[in-house]
Amino acid sequence: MNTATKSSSAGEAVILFRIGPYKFAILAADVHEIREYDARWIALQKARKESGVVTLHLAAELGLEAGAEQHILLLRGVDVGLAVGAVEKMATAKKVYGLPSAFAGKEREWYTGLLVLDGEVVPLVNGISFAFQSKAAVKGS
Amino acid sequence: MTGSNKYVVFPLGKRRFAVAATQVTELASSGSPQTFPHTTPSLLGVLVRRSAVVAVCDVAPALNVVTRGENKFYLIAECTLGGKREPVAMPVTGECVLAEANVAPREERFGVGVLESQGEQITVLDLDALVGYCTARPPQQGTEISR
Repeated sequence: MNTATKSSSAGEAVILFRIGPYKFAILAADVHEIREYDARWIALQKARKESGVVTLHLAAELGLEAGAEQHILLLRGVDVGLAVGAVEKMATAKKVYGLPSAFAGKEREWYTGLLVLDGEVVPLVNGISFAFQSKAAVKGS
Repeated sequence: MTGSNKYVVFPLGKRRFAVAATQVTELASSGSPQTFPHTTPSLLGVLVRRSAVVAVCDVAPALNVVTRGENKFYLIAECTLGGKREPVAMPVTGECVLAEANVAPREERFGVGVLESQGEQITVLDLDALVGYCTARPPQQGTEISR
């Protein structure tokens, strides 16, 4: 059976965003800042090399069509940003469901679990996993 | 596996299969599973049932059955995957019936034996093996996104 991996009476604050037709969530605590997508800013950060922020295009990481990025989620504690589609809103998730065991592929690294918000299943993106994939330096660890 | 037991017999395309009734938790009416990006073969998405998120696994190709999208219900049964016992939903193409029958052992892929119902030999499935096979990732396969 699915079990709640994280829950509290207050729930978990999450940021909801879209990539193409799909809705995703990320823990608000994992995000330091939400920026407007700006290709020039990304290029500038890239030019700074090790001192710059590495931006991952989440659509490409998930095998989806890229090109409609609107925001960058700057992850807390690491020099990594996730370029995503439109950030929609914040919400409170009462319960985080474990990914069913039948899911055995890369999604086990991509997501920390699933949320059910108003009857809609929304994957909870594992920001830290993507940060490590980017080989970015982790601050303070 | 021999002896008299209860089995749920379900249609899948032009064939019928059976699973032990003790494994079946629910027959849910059809609706589209909710999808999100993933790379596991045969998974069509998830259903939310009784406050649980249940993976939907299309077992028809592994059983060499063509269904042409005629799925009408989801048979939800307990499977052991990765050492965990969890419900998995399988699309079926019609109503299920409960049969009480003797099961004769027979070597068959994903089968633990056969039962006879209305003159028909029906394979009793080893769901753990079947779903495990369906969701196993081929070792040389690249990333393929199922949506």
